[in-house]
This record gives sequence, C-alpha cells and structure tokens, in this order.
Amino acid sequence: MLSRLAANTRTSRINLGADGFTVSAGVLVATIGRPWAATALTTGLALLIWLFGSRVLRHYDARRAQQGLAGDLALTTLLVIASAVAVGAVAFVAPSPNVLRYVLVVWPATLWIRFMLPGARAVAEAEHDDVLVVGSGTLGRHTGISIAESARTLAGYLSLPADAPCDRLPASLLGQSADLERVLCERHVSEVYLAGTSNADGEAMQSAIRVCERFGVPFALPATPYRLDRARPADKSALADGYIHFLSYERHPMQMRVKRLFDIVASGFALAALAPLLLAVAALIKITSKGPVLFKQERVGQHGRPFFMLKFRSMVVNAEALKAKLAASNEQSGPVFKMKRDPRVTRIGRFIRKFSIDELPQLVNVLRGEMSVVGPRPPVPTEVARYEAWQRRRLSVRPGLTCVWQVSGRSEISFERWMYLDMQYIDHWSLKEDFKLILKTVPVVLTGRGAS
Amino acid sequence: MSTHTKKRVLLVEDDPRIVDSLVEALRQIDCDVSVVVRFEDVLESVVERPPHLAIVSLNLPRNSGYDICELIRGDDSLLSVQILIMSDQASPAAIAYAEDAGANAFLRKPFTRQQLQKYATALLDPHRPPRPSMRWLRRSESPPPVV
Repeated sequence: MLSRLAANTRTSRINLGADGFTVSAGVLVATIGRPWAATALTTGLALLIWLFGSRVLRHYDARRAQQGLAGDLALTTLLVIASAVAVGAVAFVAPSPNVLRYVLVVWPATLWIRFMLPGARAVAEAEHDDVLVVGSGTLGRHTGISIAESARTLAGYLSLPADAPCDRLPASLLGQSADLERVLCERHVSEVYLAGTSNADGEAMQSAIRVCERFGVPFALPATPYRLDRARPADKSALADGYIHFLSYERHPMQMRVKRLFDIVASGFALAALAPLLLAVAALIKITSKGPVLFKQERVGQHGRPFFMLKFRSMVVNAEALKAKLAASNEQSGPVFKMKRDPRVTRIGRFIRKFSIDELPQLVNVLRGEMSVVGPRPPVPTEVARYEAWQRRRLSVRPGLTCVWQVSGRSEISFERWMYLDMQYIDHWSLKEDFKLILKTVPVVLTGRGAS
Repeated sequence: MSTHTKKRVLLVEDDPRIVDSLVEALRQIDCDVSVVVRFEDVLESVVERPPHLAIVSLNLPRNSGYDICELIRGDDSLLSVQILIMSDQASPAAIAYAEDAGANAFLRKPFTRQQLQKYATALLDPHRPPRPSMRWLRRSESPPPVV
C-alpha cells in the first residue's frame, strides 16, 4: 500500500515535470518571432495557471478520487483551456501569442503523457479499492491470496461460524461474520467477498448478504457450491475469479460516464461564467469579517471516504464551537443541525446562503471527482456515526450539489423523509432524472425557497 | 526413507503435447519419472512403488485430479506422498477444492520449465512435513514455503 503510494507520487512528479516542459514548449512555439520578454512573460503566466489549476483539481495528487478515462481526458483538457486563456490574455500587454499553435502543441502532448505514463492512472484508480473477505476457510484464504495478487487491497477477514481457526490468512482477521455491520461502519470497503457455502453457513451467509444490501456495498458470491472437474463457465468474462458480483443498484455504465463528463464540463463552464461573482463574493467576505474566504468542512463521500467540502465562509470563525451551545435550539429532527435564525451567520453570509452562493465553491469538489452535480448531499462524519444501517446506503453513490431533498422544500422536511427521498433517488437513478432535478433546482435557488 | 538416490515422481498427465517436456524437465532435476494416464493404473502404481511426489493434471480423460488426490489420501500408508495439482482452471474455488482434497500445491497451466522444477524441488525437500500444508499454491515467484 505504502510503496504503491510512493511509486504513484514519483509518477505524479514525472507527470507534472513533463507537463511543465510541454507547456513551456507550447509557449515557445506560440511566440515565435515575438520579443523574448513577451515569451518569458507568457511562459510564466501559463505555468502559473497550470500549476494553480492542477493544484485545485488535485490533478497530480496520489490520493485523488477516481476519475476514470473520461474524467482524466476532461480535466486535462480543462487545464489546457485555462492555460490557453492565460496565453491569450498576454495580448493585452504584449504582442499577442498564437493561441491556436499553443493548444495544438500542448493538448495532444499532455493527453499523451497522461495516458502513456505507466501506472499513473492504474494506481490512482486502484488506490481505495479495499476488499473484505467473509469466510476464513480454504476458499476464503485462496480468495484473499488471489485478491492480494491483483491490484486490489485486502482489508481483512471475517470468519464464518463453520470455519476452522486459521492462522495462515494473507490478511488479519477482524472478527466474525456477525461483526460485518461494525466493520463496514469503521472502514471504507468497496466490495465484500462472501467465501462460504449454503450447506455449512447458510444462515450466516444470508445475514451477511442482507447487511451488504442494506449498506449498498457491492458483494460477490461463489459462482457455484459444487466441485467442477472440467466444466468451465461458458462466458468467461462474467466470472473471471469464480465469483458472481452483485450491486445494490441498477448499473448504467454508459449513462454513468455521460454523467461524469457532464459534471466536469458543466462545473468547468459554471466556474468560468461565475468567476466575476465568485471573486466579488470572496472580496466581500474578506472585507466584512475576519477569517478565510473558504470554509473547508470534512464530509463523508462515496463508500464512506472522507473529503473536504468547500463553501464560502458564511459564519463567524469559531462557529463549530458555538454549535454545541446552540444544540438545544436545533429545528431539524435526526442527527442534522439546522436552525432558521442562526446567530453565528454573518451579514454577507445570510445573503449568500439565501441564494446558495455559499455552495458554489463545491464546483471545484465536482471537478476533483469527490462530488457530482446531482447526488445525495454529503453528510458530516458525526451524522454518519448516528446513521441507522439502511441510511448508510446513501454513501453508495457519489454525493452531489443538489438532490431530491433540495428541490422539495429542504429544511421543512423531516430527516426520516429526507433519507427516504435520497434512497428513492439512488434506487431509481437515471440520467434523465438528474437533468430534471437540475432544472428543478434553478428556480429553488433563484427564489431562495426553503434555504436556511 | 528410500535407499535410492533418485526421487521417484509419478506423473499423471494425458496431454500428449506436454508429457514429454514435463518428463524431460523432471529428469533434469534428477528425478525417476514414471508416467501413468489411466486412472485405474494409478493406485496400483502408487501402492507398488510409492512415489515421493505425484504430479497430477486436474483434467483427465475419465476421472479428475481431485479423485486421484482423494484416492491417495484415502490410504494412510501413503501420507508422505506429496501431491502437486496442475490445471488451467485456477480460480480460488478450484485451488480450495484441491487443498481440501489433500493436494500440497497447485500450479496454474501454462507454466515454465523453471516453475515446475522449482515446485518439484520444494515439494521433494526431505525436511517437509508429511501431510499437506499448502500456503502458496498459486503460480508465484517463490516456491511453496515449508511450514
């Protein structure tokens, strides 16, 4: 795990270095025949934007969220566009560089580097792929060995009642199958292998399946409980590892890819279009109250993986500390804290909250792959700790900026009802539904209805 | 143990494309190799001249390699015979069945001559305990360790 991270960090540095070189070369080509001072200025500006942009997007971060092919393509393109705008902007102060030539050099080259760099993408995508094996018998052990040999990480074992004690497992024993619920709460598990048979462990297997379904965690069952001497699956790709894999939601791979692509394009455009507003708000926040412009809050993302959600700061600096004192005036049922006239909110804060402007920095979270435009709102860790098991299924998808709850009255809805709405969204997800929700969100935001 | 300097290896394989090269590879590491194809002949051969190591293909014309494992393990006097299963079906379930049937190691086909020699050498090590304990059955860089 650690060595893979280190290798990934090195690959990232090579990636960054190569991209920096490409950008410089692109500027050189774009400024042929211009004075050297203009070339130097353009190079500096393009590199600055590239560095800043890639830092914001976590483009070279070894621990970034999974992006996939479409995501990597779109993010690299976005960086090329941003730096090309910077190159073009030089025209205001110096002889204008040839932006087209810059793009023609940098775009294909950076994409080529991104996709050809050995291991860069593969490692980043496998990073959080932790697998849990239930069953510590012979089958469980060999399942674990085969997982450990692949790009996935073995999180540990839970033993089934019929398993003989085994001390030769390739990962540590975390408890019994009855502890599955606890382990899923404590760790980020992206798949559970149920290595048992219905003869020996029928009941324990069934209850483990039930837990996986309630949590929305993907799981795998042995393809057959029988000994096969020479028979082999007719369709090999379906069960390459001898397991049948299950998901607790309908999978639309093509629609999912379109959704991710839409997320990147839409939030990229939105950030560019709203840049003047964002800068003005940032300036106002800085001027009117003490403290940073952005408020970074730890939220729980897909599969329970924590990330920092960005907001414009709308409260006084020590707001979290004041929250404990105000707990008695909580107006929202369940583990969420909501209050209509919260005294911690600043004057500018009240305005940007009314029109949800405080949420706009999350467009950056979307670009980073930690969030999506549409999806259940990411909860804070203390909320998740108090979730009932079935409510944790909210974490089986990428969280979003807006969801059903946001367009149906928000704070006026009970926590229980909110959870039901989110679950309904996950179970009946389609791309069409997402676009409908986006359209419904627009009037809600513009009128400031239901916002706290 | 045996007074012979050469280790006896019983090869149960019917694939004509690989039998010869397997025998050749085993002779290179100084083994006395005998080849049996018919299931019915295996027990006879094993009882008559107990081998140190039985290398068994999983996919045989009539029965399977699992059956041969069970056949050998069913006889208490043959407990010291090491069994290596070879198969192109190397799912965790297949390997687990091999272990449960009494095999000591599992080699995924296709394998190289060096891999076979490495596995055979490790299994023929006289310091190995008599009954199975296969830890690393899969095709890996290191030979199966002695537990």
